[in-house]
Parts: sequence; structure tokens; C-alpha cells
Amino acid sequence: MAALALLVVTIYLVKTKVNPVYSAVPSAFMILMTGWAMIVNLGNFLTSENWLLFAIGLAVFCLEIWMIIESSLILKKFVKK
Amino acid sequence: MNSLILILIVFIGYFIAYFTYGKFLSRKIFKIDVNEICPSEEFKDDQDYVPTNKHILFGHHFTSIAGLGPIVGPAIAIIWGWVPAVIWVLFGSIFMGAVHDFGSLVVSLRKRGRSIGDIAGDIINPRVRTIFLLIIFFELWIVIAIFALIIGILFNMYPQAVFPVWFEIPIAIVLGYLIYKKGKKHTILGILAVIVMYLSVIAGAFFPIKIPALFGINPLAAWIVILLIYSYIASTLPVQTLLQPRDYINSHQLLIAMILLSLGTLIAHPQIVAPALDPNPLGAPPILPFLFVVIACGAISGFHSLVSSGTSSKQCDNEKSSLFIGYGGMLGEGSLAALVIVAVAAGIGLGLTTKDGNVLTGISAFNHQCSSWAAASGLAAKLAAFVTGSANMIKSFGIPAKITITIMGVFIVSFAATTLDSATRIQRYVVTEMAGAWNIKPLKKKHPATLFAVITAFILAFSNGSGKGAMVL
Repeated sequence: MAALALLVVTIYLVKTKVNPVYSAVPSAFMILMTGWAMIVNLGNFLTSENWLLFAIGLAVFCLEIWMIIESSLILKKFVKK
Repeated sequence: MNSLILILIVFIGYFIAYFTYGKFLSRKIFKIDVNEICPSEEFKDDQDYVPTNKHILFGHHFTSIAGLGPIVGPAIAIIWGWVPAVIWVLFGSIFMGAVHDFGSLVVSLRKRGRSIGDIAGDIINPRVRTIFLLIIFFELWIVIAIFALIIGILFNMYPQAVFPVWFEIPIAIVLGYLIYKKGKKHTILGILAVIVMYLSVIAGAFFPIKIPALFGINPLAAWIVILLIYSYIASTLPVQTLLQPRDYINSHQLLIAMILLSLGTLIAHPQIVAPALDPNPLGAPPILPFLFVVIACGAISGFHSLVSSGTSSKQCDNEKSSLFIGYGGMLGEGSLAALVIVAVAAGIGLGLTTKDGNVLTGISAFNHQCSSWAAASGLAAKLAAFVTGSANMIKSFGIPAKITITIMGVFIVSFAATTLDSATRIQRYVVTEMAGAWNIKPLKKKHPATLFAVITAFILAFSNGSGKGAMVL
């Protein structure tokens, strides 16, 4: 969630025409690390057949990816401008 | 390496970072404007939006973000060695966590004090707001149920903490009354409140309280029910009645605990006995990426953005205060995490009594406590490692271990309680924001929204009948 909050801060900085690198780099780092950890955990839940944790983890992971895609599209639009 | 050198490096690093990187972010990136009207003034309602002295607000912010995270995370992550843990706590706090907390606070201040999830609707699009609010709701749902459980477990582990923790409530209410209704100065009253609080800690050490099973439910489940009722009441009261004064006392408590730990490090200056690096400890997941997930609160945690954009942004009196509260609060938390690393990596080596009565020292003591992932990762083991290491260092200047253990027990429970009622209050904000977005009128109001937050947590906690339902997640 820290990665997503930093993503919102980054887009805010882009919209206010300020260099967003100071929040964008931590956001990207945390997206990478937490995403990686989530994939490892989902694999473990799957092999241990822990379906409840797998379903919840997958749902949260999908919501996060969706939010990252939507945010990236907005960022791309602003960078083009 | 000597623990004193390590602590000095971390503290000096944070001090320099605040006055260089923090000030740079404040001036050049977030362009802090002292003339900007804050939501606490614009929407003042003496309930949630209350312009607050920055030192009092720092107390609330710091104690809400500090919870148990900076204690349990580093106490587990040290299994991979103290070097990666310290590097992550030091640099993660300066360049990531503090930027995150400060940034969330500033953005919320400029968006009417709304939560970061709700703001995503304006900045990105309404779909993202829905997704983000759902993720936040889900996280807080688990946090409320887990913290009610953890406090219940802690009350059973440290029955000497029960009296001082509950006695803090009337002290805080009187303190809030004298400051806000009678206009008394907060500094002297704050110190007096802390003295009374510590007298109750001493009383608690000699009068431990254990509750019996109530109406056929076991003591742990009874504590969870009591705590959820408490969190409902606490989170619906005006912030200046209980939340602010209680957190102000807690911030002093935290400061005293950190001073005791720092003095212990200075006087005992134990050698670090934990390994510098152990990338493959028995049964542990890989250091990459899990170091960055296990140490969250001591370096960067998403929960902080909920506090920054939830309660703190509604009470911040001026944009100028946001650097101290947002950036400074995170560095304070990093300092606590560094002290926890020292207590576990070095303090524990001064002496550990095993269950069979043997006294271990040095690396044997550390290995006994953190021999494997399974041994180190239970809540009791993590807290025991911290409390034992702290007590070892603090007794070096004459405070008896019995009093030290009670002080640390009260300290841990007070912070968990702060997180519980701040999380419930923030969940109420999130529920009202979701109700606003989806036009569900009844849930836009304070009491139904809080009831929804508490009842959903209750259902999760008792989903398996024992109060431990949230542990499944």
C-alpha cells in the first residue's frame, strides 16, 4: 500500500509540474519488492492448497495491478503533454 | 561491532537527513506554504477537524504510526543478520518512508484533509479511488481485528500492564479537559500526567490483573470484545477528549522508553552478538524480497499514509508543521527500530534465562532466541527478545528488571491500543468516503459508519469462534 500511496503522490507532483523522481523511485522500488513477495507467497499458498489465502492474496494483487495500470496510463498522458 | 557506535551512526544520520533532505523536499518539491489555510481551520468542527499544536499532533502521529511494527519487524528480520536490517532501517526511512509519510500528509492537506484513497479519485480517476478504498478498507479490517487480538494476548502475557493501560484513559481525559477547556499550558501538565502514569506503572507491577472467563467466553475472547467496544467509543469521541491527550502521554512514554534504551546502550554498550549477515537461516524465506516486507513500519509502511491523510491532516495547524510531523515522525520511528535491533542483536547477549533455568550469554543467547524462523517469528518470541534485551541494558543503570519489564509491557500495549483506535477512526473515514462515492446515505454518518467498522472486525475476529479469525489471513 505504501507503493500505491507513493504512486498517488508521484502523480500529484507530475500534475503540479514538479520533478517526481523523489517519490517515483521509492514507489517503483516498493512495487517491485512487494509484488515479488506477493508472487512468492501466492506460489506457497497454491502448493500448500491454502485456498482462502490464495484467493484473498490474488484478489488484492489483481486490484493493485489494475491500479498501477490506470496510474501508468495517466502518467503517460501527462508525460506526452 | 559495539552497539553504541551503531546507534550513534543511525541517530546522526537521521539528524543530518532531517535538516538536509527533509528541508529540501519541504522547500523545493512540496513547496510548503505557511500562508495556506489548512483543513483543520477551514472545516473546524471540534470533532475531527481541530487545529492542533504541532508538538501535541506529533505525539498523536508518532504513536499512531509506531504501533508494534517497528518492534516486531526488526526483531524478526535480524534473523538475516543485523547489517541488512540496519541499512534498510536507516536509508529506507530517510529516502522512502519519510518521503511517503510527509508526501501523503502534504497532498491530503491540499485536498481538504481527505484520505489518500479518496484523493486518488481526483488525481487519477474514480475507478482508482474505488480500488484504492477497497484495498485500504481490507487492510484496516484486518488491522482492527488483529490489534484487538494482540492487545488481548498482551494483557494475558503482561497482566501487570492492565491497570496502567486502563488508568491512562482517565488521566488523558483530565489532561484534555485542562488543556482545551481550561486553557492550561500543555508542557507542565503533560509532564505531570506522565509522572502519574508511571506511578500507576509501579502500582501495576505489584498488582497484576487477570480477568476470568466472562459469561462462558475465555479471557482472551472477553478482552477482544471489551477492546472492540472501547475502540467504538474512543473513535467516536472528539479528538481532543481522548485521542490527542492520550497520544500526547504515550509520546512522552515512547520518548522515555527510547531515552532508557539509549542510556542502556551508552552505559552497557554491549557488543553485537548477532551475525552480521546470514542470507539462508533455517526455514526462513529468501532475504530478497522479504527483508523489505518484514521490516515495514521501521522503514516504510502504507499504514502511515492512512494516518497522515486520515487523522493527522485534519488536525495539522499549518503546512509548516508537516515536515516535523510527517518527515520527523518517520525518522523517530526509524530510531525506535534501530534501538530494537540493538536490544535484540546486542542486549540479549548480556544474559538470557532459558525455560530450564540455564543462563546463556553472547552468541549462545542470541542463537537460543533466534535459532530458526519458526522459533523467532511467533509474537511472544519477538516481544520476549525485545523485552529481554531491553531489560538487560536498562538494568545496567540500576532500574530493577521487574519494573523494566512492566515499563516495556505498558509501552508495547499502549502503542498497540493507540493503533487500534486510530485505525477504527480512520476506517470510519474510509467507510464514509466509500458511502459518499456510492451514495449509501446511512453509512455517511459517524455512528453507523463506526458500527460498520467495528462489527465487520468483530465478525472477522470470531469467524472461527475463538477471536483469532484474523490470524488466518
